[in-house]
This record gives sequence, structure tokens and C-alpha cells, in this order.
Amino acid sequence: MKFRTIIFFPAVLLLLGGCTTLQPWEKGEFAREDMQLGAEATDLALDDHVYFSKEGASGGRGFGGGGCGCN
Amino acid sequence: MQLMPASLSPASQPNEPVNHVADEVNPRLTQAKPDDYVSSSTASTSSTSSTFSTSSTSSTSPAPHRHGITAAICLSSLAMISFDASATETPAVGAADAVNDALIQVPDSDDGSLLARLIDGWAIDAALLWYREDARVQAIEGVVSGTKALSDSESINAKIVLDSLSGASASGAVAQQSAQTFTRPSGKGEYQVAAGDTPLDDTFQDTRLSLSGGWQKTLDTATKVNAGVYGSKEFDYLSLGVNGGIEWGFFKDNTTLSLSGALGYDLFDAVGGRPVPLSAMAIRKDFADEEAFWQAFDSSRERGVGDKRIGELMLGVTQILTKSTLVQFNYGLGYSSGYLNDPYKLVSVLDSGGNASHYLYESRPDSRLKQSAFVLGKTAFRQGVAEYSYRFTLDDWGLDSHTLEGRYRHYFAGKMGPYVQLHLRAYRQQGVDFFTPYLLQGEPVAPHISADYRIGDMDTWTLGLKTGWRLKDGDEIALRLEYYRQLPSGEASSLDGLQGLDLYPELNAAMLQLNYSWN
Amino acid sequence: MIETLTQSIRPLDPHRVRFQAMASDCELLFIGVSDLQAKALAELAELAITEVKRIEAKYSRYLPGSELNRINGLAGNDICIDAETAGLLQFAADGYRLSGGLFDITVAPLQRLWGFGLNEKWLPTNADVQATLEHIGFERLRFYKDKGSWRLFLPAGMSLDFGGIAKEYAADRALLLMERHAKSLGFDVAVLVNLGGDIAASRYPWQIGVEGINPVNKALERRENAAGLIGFPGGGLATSGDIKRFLLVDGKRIGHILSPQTGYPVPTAPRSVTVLAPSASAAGMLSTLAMLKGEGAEAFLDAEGLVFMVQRGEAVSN
Repeated sequence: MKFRTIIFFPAVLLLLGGCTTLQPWEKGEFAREDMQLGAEATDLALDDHVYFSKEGASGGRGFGGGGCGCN
Repeated sequence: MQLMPASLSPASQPNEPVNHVADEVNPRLTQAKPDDYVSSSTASTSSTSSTFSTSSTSSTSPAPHRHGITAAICLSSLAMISFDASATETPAVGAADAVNDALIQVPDSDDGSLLARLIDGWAIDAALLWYREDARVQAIEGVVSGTKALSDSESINAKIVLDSLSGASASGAVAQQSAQTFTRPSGKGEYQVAAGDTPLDDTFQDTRLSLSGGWQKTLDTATKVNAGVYGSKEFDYLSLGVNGGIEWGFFKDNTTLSLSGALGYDLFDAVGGRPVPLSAMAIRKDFADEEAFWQAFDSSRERGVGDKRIGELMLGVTQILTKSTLVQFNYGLGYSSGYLNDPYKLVSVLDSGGNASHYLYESRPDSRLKQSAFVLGKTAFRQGVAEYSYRFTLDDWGLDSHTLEGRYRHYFAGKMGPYVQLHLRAYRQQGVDFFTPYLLQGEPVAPHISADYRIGDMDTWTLGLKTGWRLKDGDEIALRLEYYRQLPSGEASSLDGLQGLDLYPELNAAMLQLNYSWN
Repeated sequence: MIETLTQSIRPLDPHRVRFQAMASDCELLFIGVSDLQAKALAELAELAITEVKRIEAKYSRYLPGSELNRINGLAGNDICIDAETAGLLQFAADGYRLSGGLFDITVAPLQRLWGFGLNEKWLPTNADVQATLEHIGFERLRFYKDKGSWRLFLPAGMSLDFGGIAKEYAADRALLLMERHAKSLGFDVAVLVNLGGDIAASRYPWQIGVEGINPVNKALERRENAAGLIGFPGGGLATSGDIKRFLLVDGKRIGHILSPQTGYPVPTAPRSVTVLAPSASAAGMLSTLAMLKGEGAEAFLDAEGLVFMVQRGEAVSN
């Protein structure tokens, strides 16, 4: 069943998390603007709107939502 | 130590306390003699736990502030404070103030200051997107969004999107060897589709305005909360929503867990009323007179507007893997119920020769449960950054999809300089169980049918290029060009009437986008 | 917390404008303003508030888009900085040099290290501390002028924090802009800028009350409850202290003042130090330095010949 794989992923991630703990001063790269998860938010939102109105699936990164009568 | 050139270091001359910069812009040092800070006479109530000291120059310490570092620190601080005056001589400062005076006397300066106050402290991003689909839709979309920090731990954001679409979208009916006639959604009038052409609803035109606002707050070093509202309106559609979420950091913030939820309520006020699912489109030529047509048309319509309720939950884990790589995993669950049809979509009913006899309005289930799994990685490089993701979605309509997406940005000449970014996206979906390109006369009609290619089998590709750079004043500008290609697929038909016709037409679109960020 | 009591000697009511900025309660006080000049006063206040918020937005560590985060994000690269940032760095450089390395704006990794301990009820190990010290030291950054523009090279892994400078600097800037503008309008007004206890003020016989850490008698009036009243002739006043931020280990407070030299909290540091100086920025640096001197705080301030107030509480848990 496909759902089982879905649950499996975060478990693996948490295990990985236990293995690597970076010290705060080693996280310089994550302060970069282009390393933020919300970087290029405007582009992503515009893309989402296009794909939402053209394809059958939506969301994943964020909410798939509604908000448009286009699908 | 290789800190600074000796040139601009007032602290290097502690014995020359009169510095013309300090003199010019800050009378405090020159007016206030050091003695003011040394032996003030007055009030000294001291509580048990404190010592309040006014050391006097007559104390045992020998001529303290001459050997101390206070004078040097004070001069250095004054040079820092007056950074904007050091380049301009006194008259220039006066001139600048005179300009300010002049501005104050301009009657509408109040509006100016109101605007200035409104956008004060907001970091604004704006984008303009042109979208062009080969034969169908064209659109212009403008976005202005802003973020304002209320404090170190709290911020708000707001966004306005205005888009204008025109053109036509595929109605779901199949192409024919001869011209086809359709009734417009309003019932008033008809339109013709030429032989061999994929039927499009040529009246498709809309303007959508959407507004959203959000709030984020850091409660303590490990917990963040956010909330938002959303509303959008187009001619026939209204959508409202709220969302909220919480984030926790663990293991020195190397792991972040987030939980968020959203609720939405949409109203579909379809042009000409909502068609009754599975009812036949009334076409004038089939009726003796207008009255008979309108009777049939009205009986194919439901009263009232269609509404839709949406609830979504998302659970996310973000994990820092190495000094330059992080991964994110999201699991999303969404449930929508209510009116989920597209009121403008049709399914052709074909006779044994493949010729359309009539058209039915589509019928989708009145609920949909969707799940998604999303994995994203981001890696920082010295000269660039890469982002790659995979998404799997699944729903109880039988639609599942796989999406692979990657972006790589390369900086030329440091991170200020221009960058080039490549974007690739591959998407494959397996359509819903009730997708059918057409129906055959005489065969039983399933309770749910749709010929909307967007929920049929399909592959899509995106190729994008972006370039951007930072301007001298810190603003950023970027230009993006994307090419999008849709390749719907399905079983070929053996019906004579459909030979040589494209049941699953491809679609090509191009997007050009200009971004500007004020910092 | 510093309260401005404005026990003005002259029988003029002060005009008070309150606002929120830099995660603090802030206020502006104007003395010598008649009601007729209220419009000009509003202009002055707007000028000051705009300036404070501008500086907050530019140098906040918590705003992803701030100039400070741009600089820190570009650690490992040679970058351009503007004259204002260069001015702050110059001041920090002078402070570093004059204090023999005690005053250091690159200690942020150390603060993060100890800050996490607060949350998870454990303290960093000596190895953690030594590893963190590898990423600290103002002398490791390069800061120079090239063809008329300022350049900065911040080694990868290091980061700057203007937390010990920005608020005092903002107070000084707000005062300077108001004084300039008042002068151009030709009216005589005494102004005080209080940003959560960091104060810059025009020359005027102000009275400043310093709120006690352990108010002896809550029934007393706030004024009397203050641990000390300082006659303040204008210029700058700043307080460093662990009133709000501290670690509690075995019932003992460990201050938030971390020594960039040892990597550990300064032992026997005062609970708080308040210093008067010609500018808030200088007062802030001097009070921070005094904290870093630990046991020698009073001796240092004495030797500098400053007006100051040092509070040393017993180890108190609450």
C-alpha cells in the first residue's frame, strides 16, 4: 500500500536527525537568503497558481487549497 | 590586527578631543564638559543592593579620564553617529534642512507622509507575469506583497494579486469531422467550433482579485506560531480561507516539526446557473421555438450557488543534514466537499459512427480526499544553491501524480552579481477513475463522468531560466522565462468519425515574469 | 529597567510620545514646547521614530531581510557595505582595540551556544565552548576602504551581532536628527530619547530613576522604589545587566555577559551597570565593558572617572 511509504519517510528523517547535530555556529549557510524554505515565494505562488489550474494535483509544499474556480 | 585604515579613526587621536565633525553636528560633546559626567553633585539614594558612585576627580586614581579609554570611545561614537554629516559641510546640512522646510510647506505633504508611514518598515516584493498559451488563454498577473516586522519576534505580511485572463479553455467535448454548435453557458447565444478543432469555450474571460494577510510570532527560541486569512473574488467565484500553524525546533534547532491547518469556503456562482450534472446541454436547433429551448435550458440548471468546504492538515519535518544541506518532508491531508464540478465542462455522447449526438454536463463526486507526500532538499554551494524535490499525491478519485522538480542557481562574481537559475519540472498524473474522453450512445452512463483533460492521464514538462541581480541600493531585480508543455494521453479511438482527429491535444505555454524587491 | 521620571526643575510639563521598537517600550520626551509648537513636535517625533525603526530593520538579527543578515549570510565573501555600517564597524573596532579584545561583536555563536543551554537544561561542554571560540574574534575579519567604498570580509562561520550597539546608536541618531531639525526650525527644545532604558538626551537637568532589581517595598511610590536617582545632564546613559536574561545553574545566576576570551560567562559580574557618557553609544560600550570586567567593574569605572551605578545582588532565584 502506498500510504505506508508515506509514513516511512519521516521516520527515516528523524533517524537521520539523530545522527547529525550541527552546532549553531556551523549553520552559517542556512542563514543565506537563498537557503530559506520560503525563498522565491512569489515565483512559487505564481507557479502554483498555474499548475493548480492546469493539472489534477496540487499542494504538497504548502496547502493545495482552493481559491480559484479554474479547476 | 588588520581592522581598519588609520585614516578614519578618531580614536587614534584621543588627545585631540575637538573634532570638527563632533563640533558641527553634535553640540553635546562640546557643550557638555567631561566634568558633567564625572562628578555630578546630586541625588543619590542608594538601596541595599546597589552602590551608586560618583567618583570624583580628587580621588586617588591619577587624572583618570586622560589615561582612560572613555574619551576615545566617545569620539569614536560621535564619528559613528554623524556618518551622514561627515561628507557634507555645514552649509550642505543647512541646505538639506531648507529642502525639508520647503517640503513641509507643500500642502499635500501630508499625503506623502501618510504614504511614507504606510510603507515605512515594509519590505516589498512585486512581480508581473505574462502568460501565453498557444491558442487558448492569455493572462497578466500582478503581485505585490509586503512583510513588516513589528518587533524582533513578530511580523505581519500582506499580499495582493490581480490577474486578468482572456481566451478560451477546452470544454471537454471531442473534436469532430464537421462543425459543432454549442450553447453559451448563459443560454443566450451559441458558438460554433470548426471541423477538426478541439471545442473551446471562447467566452472565457475573467479578472480575479485576491487578498491575503498573515501574522507570525516567535514565542520562544523553539516555538513559532503563524496565522493567516485569505480571500479572492472573480466574476463567478468567491473563496475565503483561514489558516494557522505551529513550529517546534528540536536538537539545537537541527530538526523542526511543523503542524498547520487550513479551512476554506468557496462559492461558485456559475454563469447562467449551475448545470445539473449528467443533464444534456440544450441546443436551439433541437427545439421548435425559443420557449421550448428555455424550458429545456432551465430544467438543466440548478437553483442557487454551489459551495465547497475545504479542510487541510499538513505535518512537516525539516532536518539539517550537513553544514550545507537540509531536507524537508511534508505530509498533507485535504478534504473537500460540496460542489466540486466545473460547471463549464462537457462530455460528448457519440453514436456508433463517432459523431456527437449531444453533450452531457460533467458529474464529479461531491467529496474528495487527497493526500500528498513531499520531499525537498536544498544544498548551498559556494557559488550557488540547488533545490530538488519529489512529490507524490493520491486521492480517492483515483488520481495519483509524481512530480520531480529541480532548481539550480549559479552566481557569477559573488552573491551580489548576476545569477542564472535553471528550472526543470517533470509531472506525470494518472487520471481519475471516472475520466472518459467521450460516451457512447446506448451504453449506461456512470454516476460520475468527466472529460476534463486536466484530470485525465497526462505528462507535463517545464523548463525555466531566471536571472537576477542586486542593485547598488540593495534592491533586487529578476527576470524569469518559463516554457510549459502538456502532453495528455489516453486510448486511441477506433470510431470512424474520430479518425485523424486529436483526442488528446498538446498544449504549450510560455511565461515571462519580472520581479522587483525593495529592501 | 530605566524609568525617566523627568523631575523637571522648570514648571513645564513634558510632552511624552510613546512607541514600540526594538522589542522595547520607547519614549520621547520634549521639554520647552508650547502647545503652539505641537505640529513641529509631531514632526520631530516622526523623524525620531522613523529613524529608530530604520535602524532596527537594518541591523536586526531576527529579520531575514536585514542588512545584518545579508552580511552574515555572505560570510566567506568579500562584500560591499555602506558608510553607516562601516561607521558601526569602526566603532566596534575601536571598542575591541581599546578594551584589549573584551568588547567583541562577533560573540553571537557563543551566545547561541549558551542560549540553547537555557532551553534544554544543560550547559555546553568545555569542548563545545572551545570549538565555538574558533569562530569568534573581531581581529579575524577584514574591513577596509577600496576605491572609495567600504569592503568587509567576514570569514565563513562567523557572524556579526550589533545587539550591543544598535539600540544605543539608534537613540543617538534619533536625538541627532531631532536636534538638527529643531535647530533648522529655530526652536529651542530639550529632547530625551529612551529606547527601553538606553537614553540619549539634549543638555538639560534631567533626573533618571533606575528601577530596583529587588524592589524593597512594593507599597512605596515607584519613584522611591527606584534603586537610584541619577542627575543626568544630557548626553547618553545606558545600562547593561542580566535582569532579564540569565541562566540559572544550581540556583545561581549566570549572567548573559559572556567573555569572548574564555568563552564562559563572566564570573562575579555585576547584576547591572549604568553609565553616563556624552553619547548613548559610548555609555553602552562602557557599561558592557564594565560588566566584562567582572569583579573589577567598579574599579574600571572609577579609573575612567565616570558617573555610574553598579548593582550587585546576592545570588537570587525566583
